Amino acid sequence: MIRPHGGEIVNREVSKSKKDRLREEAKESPKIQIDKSLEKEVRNIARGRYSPLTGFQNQNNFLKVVRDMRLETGEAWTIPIILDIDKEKKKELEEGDQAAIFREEEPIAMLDIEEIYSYDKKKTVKDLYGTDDTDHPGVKMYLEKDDYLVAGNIDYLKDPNHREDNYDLDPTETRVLFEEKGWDTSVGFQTRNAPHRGHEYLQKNILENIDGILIHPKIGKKKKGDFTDRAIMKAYEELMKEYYLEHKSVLSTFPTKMRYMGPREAVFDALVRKNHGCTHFIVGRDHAGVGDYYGEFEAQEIFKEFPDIEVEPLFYNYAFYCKKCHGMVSDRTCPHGSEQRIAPSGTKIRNMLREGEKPPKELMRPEVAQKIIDMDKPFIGD
Amino acid sequence: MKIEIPGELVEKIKERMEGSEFESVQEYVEYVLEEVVKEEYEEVEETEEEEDWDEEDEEKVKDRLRSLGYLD
Repeated sequence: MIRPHGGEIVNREVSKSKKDRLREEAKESPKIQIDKSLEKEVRNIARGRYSPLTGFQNQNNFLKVVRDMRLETGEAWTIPIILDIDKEKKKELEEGDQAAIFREEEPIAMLDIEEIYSYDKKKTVKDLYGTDDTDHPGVKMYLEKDDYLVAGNIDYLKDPNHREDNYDLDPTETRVLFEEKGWDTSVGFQTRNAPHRGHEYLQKNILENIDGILIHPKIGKKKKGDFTDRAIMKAYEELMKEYYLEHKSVLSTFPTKMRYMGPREAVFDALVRKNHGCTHFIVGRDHAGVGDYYGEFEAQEIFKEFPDIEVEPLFYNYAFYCKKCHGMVSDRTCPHGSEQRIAPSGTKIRNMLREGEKPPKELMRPEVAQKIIDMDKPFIGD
Repeated sequence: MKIEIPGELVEKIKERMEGSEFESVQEYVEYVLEEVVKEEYEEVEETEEEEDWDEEDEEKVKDRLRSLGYLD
């Protein structure tokens, strides 16, 4: 089994007795209210998805990640994991003290406040996204953050059995699962889409050489027009029950928001799947991209800067249906011209489904399309 | 049981007690020792739980995977 990033799976759960005590202390401590999206991040840290992180990043690590895409300890890490607070909250908090992280009325975690610092939001955004254009959905989200960041280790207070959904498996669980399935090699597949035949082609192609696949959609905040989490999961359920081997494939979720950070997010995605036990990770064309902010293969090229991450990226171009080959192929295998090719354009497929129309069966399984068409509001913002 | 405390330390304790709710050096020392013993006890308790973690937790994980239909 591949080593977790940083050597071991972080676990910020505490013993029951300590948890009871901390829950009491939380009532008297300064409170930091977080939204649903940040609650997911607290859990991702606590249960080891973000190993080796043990809390929210301090200024040195934050700057190192933004500038060099590495932690101070040298390990690759491309996206800052931070907790933002406003000026008023900053006045309530003291470095060296504890604060309770609350979601509505419930204490989620205790934070040992290591540091409170400000940051240059505009510069950070430019470094992370390569643009400060507010039409970029990730940039827009980032600029909405509060002006100060609070750093420190967390102790997780929620019930360990609490999950976002029944597909939400921790890294420890996927690792046990892969072992039980007898997989020596496994590949992670990140997605924010319902599956079309191009995805299926790519996934099955890889299964010719790798023992198993973890299909791992991001479940969380996405931009308007994207598939809803429910639509993604229902579509995959429909596809996998008929067309995938149970002992070779696992459908699970990665509860986090889409950042649309392109190349940086591709490396981050690979590291998280490494923590889940994946030896390989699929990086497609314009991975985690949006609009034309990133080059088609920028998310693949960035991996040259990370020869040390151990999880092996597998690079793929897009697949398409060739009328002459009578099947899904890619430009690495098909000799025919563009007039023979039907590309599974995500935008076109979404538009057809939105109109209640099934895309050609060569591009999307009819039963998958029907599942989405039958759903109430399968797209965000509809 | 009697425990001797160096005079210098007693003076420092008295300085610390100023403005606090402690009424005597004995009360202060008892409180500090209670806290230390409590913390040590908690650490022992947590260590024991962690030592048992691997085996038990793996079984719990398998149970959970079974209950979700990931394992037979």
